[in-house]
Amino acid sequence: MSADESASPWESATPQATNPFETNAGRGSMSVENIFSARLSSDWGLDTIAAVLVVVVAVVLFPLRFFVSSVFVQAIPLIGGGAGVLYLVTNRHAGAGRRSNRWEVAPSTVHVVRMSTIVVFSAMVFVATVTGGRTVPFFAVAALAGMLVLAQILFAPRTELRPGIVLAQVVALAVLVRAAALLTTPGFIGIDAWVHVPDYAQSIRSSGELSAIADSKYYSAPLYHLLVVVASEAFGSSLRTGLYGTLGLVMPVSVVLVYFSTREFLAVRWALLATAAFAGADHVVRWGVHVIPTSMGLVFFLAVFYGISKIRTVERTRTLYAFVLLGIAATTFTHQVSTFVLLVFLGAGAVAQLAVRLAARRDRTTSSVGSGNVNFAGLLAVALPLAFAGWSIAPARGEDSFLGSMLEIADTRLGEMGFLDLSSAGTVPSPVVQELTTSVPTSVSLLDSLGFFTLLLVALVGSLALLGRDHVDQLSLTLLLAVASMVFVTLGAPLFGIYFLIPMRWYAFMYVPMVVLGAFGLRYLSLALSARQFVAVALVFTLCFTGPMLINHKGTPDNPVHNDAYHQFAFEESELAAAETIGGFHSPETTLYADNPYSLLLRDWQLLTTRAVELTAEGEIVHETTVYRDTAGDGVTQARYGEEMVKVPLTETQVCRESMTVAYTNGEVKYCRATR
Amino acid sequence: MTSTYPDTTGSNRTVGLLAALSAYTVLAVSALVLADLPTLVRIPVAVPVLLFAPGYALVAALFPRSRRLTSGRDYETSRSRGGTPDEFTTLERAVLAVVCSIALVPLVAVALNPVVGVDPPLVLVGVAVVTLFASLVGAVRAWTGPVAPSRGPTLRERLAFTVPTDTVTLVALALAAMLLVSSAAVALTGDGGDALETEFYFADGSPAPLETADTGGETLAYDLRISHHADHLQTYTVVVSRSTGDAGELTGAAVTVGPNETAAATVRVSRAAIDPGETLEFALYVGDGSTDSEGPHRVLRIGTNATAGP
Repeated sequence: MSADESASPWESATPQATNPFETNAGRGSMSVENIFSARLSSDWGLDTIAAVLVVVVAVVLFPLRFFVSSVFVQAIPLIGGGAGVLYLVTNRHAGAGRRSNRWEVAPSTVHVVRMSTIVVFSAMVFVATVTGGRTVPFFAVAALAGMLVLAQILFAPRTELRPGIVLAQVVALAVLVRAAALLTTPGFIGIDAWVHVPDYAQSIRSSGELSAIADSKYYSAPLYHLLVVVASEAFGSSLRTGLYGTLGLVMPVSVVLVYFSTREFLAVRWALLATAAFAGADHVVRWGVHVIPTSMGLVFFLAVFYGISKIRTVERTRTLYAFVLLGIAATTFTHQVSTFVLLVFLGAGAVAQLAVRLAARRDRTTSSVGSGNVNFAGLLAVALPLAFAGWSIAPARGEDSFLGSMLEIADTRLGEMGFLDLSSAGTVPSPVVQELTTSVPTSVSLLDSLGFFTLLLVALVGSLALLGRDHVDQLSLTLLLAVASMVFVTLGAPLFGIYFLIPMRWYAFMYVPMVVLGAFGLRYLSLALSARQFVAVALVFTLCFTGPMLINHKGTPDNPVHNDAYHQFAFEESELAAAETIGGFHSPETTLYADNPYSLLLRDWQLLTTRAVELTAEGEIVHETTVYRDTAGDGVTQARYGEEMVKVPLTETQVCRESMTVAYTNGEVKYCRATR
Repeated sequence: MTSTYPDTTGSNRTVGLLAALSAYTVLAVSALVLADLPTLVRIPVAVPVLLFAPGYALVAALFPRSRRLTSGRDYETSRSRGGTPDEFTTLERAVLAVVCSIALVPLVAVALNPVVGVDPPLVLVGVAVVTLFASLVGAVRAWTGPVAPSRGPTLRERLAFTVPTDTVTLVALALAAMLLVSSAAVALTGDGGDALETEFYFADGSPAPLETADTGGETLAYDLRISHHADHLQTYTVVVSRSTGDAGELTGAAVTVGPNETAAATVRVSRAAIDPGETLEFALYVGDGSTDSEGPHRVLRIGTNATAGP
C-alpha cells in the first residue's frame, strides 16, 4: 500500500501543487482534505487576530514566572508566544509558489532508514533483555527507533511512503516500548492496578458475582474487571496474564484508530505523523503500562473519536451513529473520568454545531449544516443521561452515590479556589528537612516536559492555521474547542487549585485532537516555509519530541530515567514477597508506616492500615511500626512533612532505627517495630 | 476487464470469512469450556475469541462489505456506474474488530450477570452466540446490500510483494536476526537476578521483648519462619547471638526447607544470658552456618528494651 494510491479517494495524498494553500481538488465534494486546506490571509483574518491574541495572552502571563516556580507556568507563555509569532511570521512571508519537495530524501535513503528501523527494533529487544527492562540504554535505542520512524514519515517522497509499513512500525514500536515494561516488571506497574486486579477483579472471580464490588464506584462501570476475569478464566491463567493478554495488547494496536481518524482530515503523511506522535506520547505510554480502566476508557474514546471523524464522510451514517453510541456506552460502563472527558468532547462538538448553525443562519446559507455535519447535540442527549445514571448508582466513599460525592467535592473545592493556588504552596519545611528533601531540578523538569511543549507548539500553530481557512467547519471547530477545554482542565484549572477533575488523567485524551492539530501545524509549516527551513523544523520536532516523550516520568513509572527526581511506581519481586508476608502477620488495626508508594501497595493490595512515613522538623522518623526497603534509599521516594508530600531519599537508620526490632527481612525489605 | 453486472466474489468472500469465524469461535469456545487444556494452548486459542471474532462479526453486521461491481481498479470508472464504495479498509475493520471485541465480551458478562452471575464459561458461550448472530446478520446484509465498485487492489494483491534481496535488506535482516537470537540466548541462560530469595521473620511479626531482669534462668522461645523461593532443597542454619559481650553464640538450629516452601524453626534463649542493653541477633546462614565467609544471609534483631535493665 503506497501513499500515492490515487485509485482510492481515501488514500490520496496531499497534492503537490504549486500553490501551497490550494484545495485538494482530487477529493471531491465529500473530501475532507479541503477541510484543512489553508488559505493565506492577506488581511486581518480570524487566524491573524487569534495569533495576535495568543501573543498578547503570552505576554500577560509571562510575569507569572516570578511568582510560581512550575515549569509549565514558566514555559507555556513562551510556547504560546512562540507559536503566535511563528504563525504570524510564516503567514506573512509565505508567498505562493514557495512550496517544493526538496526536503524529501532519495528513495534509496528511505530504504536504508526503513531497514535500519528493523535493526533498531531488534536492538531494543536485545537491550531490554540484557539490561533487564526499560533502562537508560533501552530508552536511548527506543528514541533512535522513534526518530527513524518519524524521519521516514517526514522525509520520504510520496511514492516511497508506505502507510502499511509505517503503521506496522509504529505499532511494533508501541508494542516494544510497552512490552519491555510489562514483561520485565513483577506484579503490576502503578498503584491503581493493585486495587483493580488483585482486589476488584479477584473478588468477582472468587465470588462469581458482580455484587462483590458493590461498594465500589466500579459497580456501575465493571467492563474492565469483567474483561480481566473472563480472559484469565479463558486463558486458565492469572489475572495479570488475563489483563496483559487482552487490554495490554489492545492498547498499542488501538493507536491505529488515530491514523484512520486523521485520514478523514489530512493526507497519509500527516495522518501517519499524528499516529506516531500519539503512540509515543508520554501519557499514552503511561496507560499502556499502567493498564487500568483509564486505559480501556482511552481505547473507547479513540473509537468514538474515529466514529465521529468518519460520520461526515460515509454514506451509512445511521450505523456509524450506532457504533459511536456503542463506544459512548462502553466508556460509561468502564470509567467515570473517561466518561467525563468524553462528555466534554461531545459538549465541545455541540457548541461547535450550534456555532456553525448560527453562522449559517446569519449568512443565510445552509451549506454548513448539511448532512456532512455531526449531530453532537443528539449524541450528548444520549450520553448525558447514560453517564448521570451510571454515576448516580455508583457508590462512593461516605456518599450514597458517586455523583453526590463529586458534586460535594466540586462545591467544596470551587469554594476554596484562588488564583495561583498551586499545590506547591504548602508547609515550609524546616532547614533540616530542606536539606534532606530533593526537588526536581529545572533542567530535568524542562527535559521531562519538552515533548509536551513541542506538541503544544505545533498544535497551536495548527490551530491558528485552521482558523486561516476559508471556511471553519463544524468538526474543525470541535477539535479546536475540545483541545481548548481540555488544555484548560489540564493546565488552567490547577492554577486555581482545582485538581478534583484529576487533570493528569486528561492528557492522553487531550492528545487525540492535539496530534491531529499538531500534524496539521507541521503540514502548514511544510507549505509555508522554504525547504531548508522546514527540514530544520522537522529535525527539531523529531529530536525534541521523540526522546523527551519517551523518558517523561509519567510514561516511565516502572523505571524513571531521572530516578533521583521522580520515584518509581513499580516494585521488585522481593518487595512484593515482603508485602505479602507482612500482610499475613501485621494486624490491620495497627498503622504501618512506609515510604510512598510502598505504603500504598501495602494498603491497596494487602488491605492494611498504612500511611507514608512522616518527617519531624529534625528530619527524623519516630513511628512505632515501619517498613524500610532498599529502593527507598537508592532513588527518591516520598514522605510526609506536615500535610505535604516531600521527595526524599530515605536511609535504613532513619526508618528502622538501631533500637528497633527487625521482625522481618528478605535482604531488600525490613519490617521493624519499636521495642516496648 | 470490466463488467456492468454485480460481481458476487466480494459477498462470497465475506460470507465465507464470517462462516469460518463463526465455526472457529464455536470450536474454540467448546474446547475452552469442555476440555482441560494447558494455559499455553488456551491462550492462543482464546485470544481470537476475546479480541477479534465478536468485534469482527459486529462490524460486519453494522457495516457489511458492499458487493463489488467490477474487478477493475479504476475507482472513478466504477463510481460513475453508480456503485457504493466500501467505506472501510481491511485494516480498519480489523482494528475496529479488536476495539469492539473488548467492549462486547464484558458487555455479555454484564448481560448474563443478573441471570447466572459472572460465570466465565457461560460468558464465552454468550460471546459465541453473539458472534454467530452478528455473523448471520453480516452475511445477510453483505449478500443483499448495495453494489459497490472496487476500492483498488485486494488484500491478496496488496500482500503480493517480492522479497527484496538487496544488500541493505540482507544486512539489516541478518543484524536483526542476530540481535533477536542473542536476546533469546540471554533470556534462556540468564540467572534471572537474585537466584536465592529467602524471607526470614518472626512468625507473628512481634517477637517477645527482651526482659533483662534476672528471672532465674527462664527461657524465651522464638518462633521463626524461613521462606525459600527457589526450585531446590536448601539447608539453613539459624544462629542466635548477643550483639555485645564475649559470649557470642547463644544457640542455633539447622533447618532444611523444600523448594518454594516455608519452614518453621523455634529457638530458645535463656534470659539470664542476656545483659541489660544488649540486642539479640538471629542470623540465618545458607548451608551449615557460621563458617560462611560472606557473613549471614539474613539477620533479624530484637532491639534494646528501653524500659528494662537495672
